[in-house]
Amino acid sequence: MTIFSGCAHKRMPSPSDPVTLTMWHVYGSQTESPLNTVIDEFNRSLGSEYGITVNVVSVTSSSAIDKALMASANGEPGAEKMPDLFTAYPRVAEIVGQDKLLPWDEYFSEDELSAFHTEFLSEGYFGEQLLMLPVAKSTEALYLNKTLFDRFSADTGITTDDLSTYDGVFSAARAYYDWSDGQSFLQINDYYHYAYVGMKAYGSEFIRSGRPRLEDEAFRTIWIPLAKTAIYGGICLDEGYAAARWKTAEVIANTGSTADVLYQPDRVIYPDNTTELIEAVALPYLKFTENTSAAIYRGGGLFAIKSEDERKNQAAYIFAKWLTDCEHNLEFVTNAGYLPVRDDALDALFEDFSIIKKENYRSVYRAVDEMLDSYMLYALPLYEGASEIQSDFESNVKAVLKSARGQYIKRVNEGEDPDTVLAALAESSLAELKSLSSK
Amino acid sequence: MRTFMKFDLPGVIRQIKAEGISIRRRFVGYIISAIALVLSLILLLLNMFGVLNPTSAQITDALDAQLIFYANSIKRDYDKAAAHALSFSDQLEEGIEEYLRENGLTFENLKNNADALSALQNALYGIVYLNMQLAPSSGAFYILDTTVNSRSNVPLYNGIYLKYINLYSESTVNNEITLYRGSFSTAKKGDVTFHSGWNNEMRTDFFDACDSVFDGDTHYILSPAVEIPDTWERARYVYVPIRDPKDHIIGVCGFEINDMYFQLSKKVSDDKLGQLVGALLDNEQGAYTGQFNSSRYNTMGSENVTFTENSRNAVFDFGTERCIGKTRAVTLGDRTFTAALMITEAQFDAIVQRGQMKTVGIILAVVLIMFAYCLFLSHKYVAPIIKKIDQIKHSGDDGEQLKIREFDALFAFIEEKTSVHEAQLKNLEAAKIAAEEEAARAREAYEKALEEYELAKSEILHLSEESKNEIVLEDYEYFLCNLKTLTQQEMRIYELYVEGKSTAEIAAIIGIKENTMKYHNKNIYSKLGVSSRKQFLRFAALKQMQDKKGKQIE
Repeated sequence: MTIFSGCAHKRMPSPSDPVTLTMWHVYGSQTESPLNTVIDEFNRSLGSEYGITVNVVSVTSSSAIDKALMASANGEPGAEKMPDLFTAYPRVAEIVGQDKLLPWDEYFSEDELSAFHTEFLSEGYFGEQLLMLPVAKSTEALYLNKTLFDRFSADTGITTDDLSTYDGVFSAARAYYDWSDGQSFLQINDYYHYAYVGMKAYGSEFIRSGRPRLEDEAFRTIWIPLAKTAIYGGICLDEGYAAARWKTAEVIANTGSTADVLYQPDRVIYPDNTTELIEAVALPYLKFTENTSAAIYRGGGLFAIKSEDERKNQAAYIFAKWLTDCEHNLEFVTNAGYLPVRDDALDALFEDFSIIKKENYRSVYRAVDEMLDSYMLYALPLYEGASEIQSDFESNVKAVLKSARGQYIKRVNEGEDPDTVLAALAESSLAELKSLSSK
Repeated sequence: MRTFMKFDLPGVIRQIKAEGISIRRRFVGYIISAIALVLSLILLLLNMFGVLNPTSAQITDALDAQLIFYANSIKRDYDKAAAHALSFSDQLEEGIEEYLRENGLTFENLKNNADALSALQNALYGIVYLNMQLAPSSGAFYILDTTVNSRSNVPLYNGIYLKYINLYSESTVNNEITLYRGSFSTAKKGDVTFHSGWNNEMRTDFFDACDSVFDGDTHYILSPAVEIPDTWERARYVYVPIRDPKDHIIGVCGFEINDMYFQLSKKVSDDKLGQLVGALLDNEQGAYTGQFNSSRYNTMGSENVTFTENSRNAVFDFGTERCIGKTRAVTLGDRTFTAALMITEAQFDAIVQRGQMKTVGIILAVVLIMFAYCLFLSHKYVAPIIKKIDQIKHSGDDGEQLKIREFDALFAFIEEKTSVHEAQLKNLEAAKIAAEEEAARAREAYEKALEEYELAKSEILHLSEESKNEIVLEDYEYFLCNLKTLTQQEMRIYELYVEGKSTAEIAAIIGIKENTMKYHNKNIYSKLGVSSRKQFLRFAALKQMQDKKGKQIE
């Protein structure tokens, strides 16, 4: 109780005058929701003591939250009332309106805020106000279905050592396509991140003045090998998350957030309903060149809608403080593939992996540990229209490459030289992407 | 305060009985009694007509009113889902029949025929998708009593099960869907993503409660809330049978209503009570589980909940927490469920306490107003009377009228009486003064007589003392010795002489003649040995003095 005594002059929630906070969050797959488990623990312990109930009314994706918040903010018919708490990327601040968001810095003391990892905290500041509180951060890794890869490896001699760079993975993907008789090897879950880190690796910037720089030579450098592999068939270009495709062995590798481990299946299911248990491993994020190790760190944060009922604001603070303390934050993030947000929790996590219960999660944290030692980690830039530009870029890349892939199959079937067609389509796809992006 | 603390009611009552009570107190007492009586009657009437209820009863009434609406809403929605499910079933029956006819297959031919079952799923996918969009649900499914692999260790049903991915509103328009159960080709053809707990087919024990649909002829069944395998969710299912043209049941279809959808669609709040916890509970051999409109209670309520009902409320025990609420039976399908609305016990107690404080506040305010009104009336009515009485007591009536006829007449009567009594008092005082003067004069005469007497007595004493030495001792002893020889009459005469009476006075007192007196004197002188009156009186005085001294010595 005494930890909140600093705010004793403000109206606090109590069991006799309870407060319910509705919450939308993204920390859960359809199979598991570690945050729900932790929230349940909060409701039963400190929440019960203060009469606070955090009522999760949606566990969804960040893009769905963006849409729902937009609908709520615009008062669209059928839209739900804005939740009291939601997790999202910084871009939602402009959707919701910064003036409607609770400034966490008015509730957390300076001492409390100083316990957070500085870089993670700084992402949440909008001007002078801390509107997004970090609760979990992730970086990216390469996931591999090692059981199926080992069969491929045995036949081709390609090993996991070849999977440290994009060039190595693209080569493996084309070889896998041939070996598996037309199966994709890889899915890249986020092309925007690919471009952002890739351009950094070549000493350039993907985003400048609020727009992607597709005309930059560095972009061409990272685009051509990607396009060639995708057009060849080595990269899956369909919508949806890679983890779902692991179930049917549509792909056996993907780049994605460390949090994707939550979605990873432990088996492959074949059409006759037979299943095969698989070993999944995580490797450090792919390098663009041997000497440039970089990745982005990502993960949104916790926002609260500022309420006229001060009890709700206090309840949001009490919950946020509880969620980000070392013990509960570690309990939550290590079951969801995220990084904790306080320095003491980060130290505790990487000092002792035994606190992580599942082997595939330990694999992720080993990869992250390696990356923290030698990688540059970048946060995505926030600028006006970032959300739309990111979403458009993703769909444009997939559309352009899918179209090129279709043309490639057609032209090769018509007897054209595959390498010549591939090179031509890689170049034309870049032109088409530039054309689409300029609209 | 000390006086108040030591308030002695019996003592006060005794004092009142002994001394009476002031007009002001009596008046205030009567007025308070009257107001209290009227208030009591008003409160009684308000209570009789239900206007004035205790807060706990108000909470119960509010919950009751909300529960009627809530239970009806649940029944309406589930019946609506059931109606959609019946239509869904009809469409599926037609779709299956059409597919089998077009492909020259029988239902039995589908077993272990992965291609045919996938093709059938592709044919039926649109029906499942459309009905899912129409029904108030979080998912839709059908299962057929057949499988792609009858050799599997686990008995399986084939079918499609679609779920919404991003539920955040009761409205599911434009929500993305995911394939939870169904073939690979169904996902491809429907361009739908796999659920992260996806499997090709469903275990036959997946829908426990649907067995009775296969067994019997039930319109629809609403299942208990159960865990959805490979997910963190719980859900109820609306089941209806799928029949072949010969009316054999070949499968089941229906809708999923998961906890999240229930939460979103069954929100309920009350202006006074705030957010209410609503639930649809299943009674399984005395233990209750169910769906709640709060994720917190859904977690707690997935375990057993117990509740006890008294005449007014139901008390729900979640183990670590208790709630107070109301319940109502709701029949859905072939089963009876319990709809419930509740608030936490702490919240209930706080509302009751606030209500009690309000009642106490009102009573205090009424009492204060009552006292103020009494004081006002006392000031206006009693104070002038008391003032008038004081004035009359201290300085007489000034003639000013109270404008209260009875009191003015009374004071006039008192004034008249007072005048009479004052005149009488004056007379009495004059008489008293005269009597006092007379008494003073008498006292003065008495004191003078006493002074003379004392003087005479001292003279006699003086004489006695003077003549003492002249008395012959023998004569005096003779006198003393023979004194007892005197007759009674002579002794009487002797004593009267000693008292200082004259011969004539003695004769008058005794009632004898002077001659007789002389005769007696002669005898007395003779017996006492005295020769003259002077000697006789000297001896008598001497004796008297000696007698007095003797008494003093004694």
